[in-house]
Amino acid sequence: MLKLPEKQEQEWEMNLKGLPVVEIAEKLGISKQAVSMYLKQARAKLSEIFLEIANLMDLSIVKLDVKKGILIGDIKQIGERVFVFYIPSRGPLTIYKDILNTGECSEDTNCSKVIQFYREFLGIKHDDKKRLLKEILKYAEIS
Amino acid sequence: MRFNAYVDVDYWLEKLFASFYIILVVTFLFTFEPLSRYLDNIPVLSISMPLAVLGITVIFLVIFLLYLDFNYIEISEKELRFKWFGGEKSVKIDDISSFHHLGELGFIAPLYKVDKIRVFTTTIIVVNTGITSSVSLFKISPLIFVAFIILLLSTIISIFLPAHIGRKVFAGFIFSDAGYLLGVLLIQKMKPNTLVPIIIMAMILIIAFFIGYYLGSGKRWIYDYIIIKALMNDKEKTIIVNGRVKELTKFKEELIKVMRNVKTT
Repeated sequence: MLKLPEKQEQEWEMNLKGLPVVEIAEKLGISKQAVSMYLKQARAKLSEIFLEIANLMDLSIVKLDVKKGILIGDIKQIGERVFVFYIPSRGPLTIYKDILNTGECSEDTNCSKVIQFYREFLGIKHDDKKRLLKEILKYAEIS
Repeated sequence: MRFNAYVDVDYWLEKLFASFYIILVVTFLFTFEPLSRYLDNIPVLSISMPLAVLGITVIFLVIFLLYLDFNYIEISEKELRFKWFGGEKSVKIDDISSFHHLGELGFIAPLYKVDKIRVFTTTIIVVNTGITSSVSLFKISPLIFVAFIILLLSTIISIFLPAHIGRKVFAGFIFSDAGYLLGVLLIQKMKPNTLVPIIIMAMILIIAFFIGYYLGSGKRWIYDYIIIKALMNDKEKTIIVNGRVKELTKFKEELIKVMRNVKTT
């Protein structure tokens, strides 16, 4: 299944939100070594998930960041750029760069779910979906 | 498997270049009147300054020559190995947290955020050249000086454009900057107040811009970078792999292959 085990995901998310290993260990009442081990396993698993997606979608990988949970690639067959975000409790979600031109991002799409997570994560205040998407994709490129 | 590519850690080479150029410009500033006249009156300084510059240049050259030897990176099932100061270094594959192909990134983000390496080094060279050439240009003509400053500002502004456009425009302006300085040397010897020098200069600027724009717009650069972030001795380090695109593509494919084989249990 293309998802992190619960424990690994919980610690990976805390680390993504900037919590250092010591604080994660304190919060969860486990040792620093255990947290480091879980994080290492989570990153290895994420790497496996993203590389599997890249293989399935026939992507030429441009960027892979397992710490941030981001994969950027070009679909070899059509040259379209794809952004894949690992969203805690949802798993990997894809956004096509072309959506910035079409502007279609309805409620039940991956795009909305990614926006929902990153709006809070990046502390974005406004509701303009196109702007939000642009800021999220920009974050994916430079983070 | 061994790949031919230069390896840098934590942008060390860029920092070296930057400090070298800054030292050159600071030294150049000391040659200005009345500071130079004042310094010439202090015998120790008048001798020690050129010696210090010579010494620094030699040190930089020696370090740079040493760096040229860091010209390979190896991938095995478990680690990356490359030459670095103090001997060969290694990074475990499962300690790699990210990698990206620099020349292919940047559809939305601005150039200066995406392509820090190329932009940083080139901007320092451009700004330093600007500082060192401006005085001579002002002496030739204030108008020529103003035009050069506008050209420099445009170059710098272009790094704020989205990277996929910025790369071309930035490269175009860099070539124009160089073309302008060459053009000034050419038109200096011509009759002033005629249309000919203006037309020549305009042609040089346009041609230089398009050459730069064309080179910057290549779908694939001849040389590119793969940036890897990984833990080395419990600290996150940035490993910059620089080489021919063909070689880097093979390296990336091999890296993906070994990352795919990392055990998750």
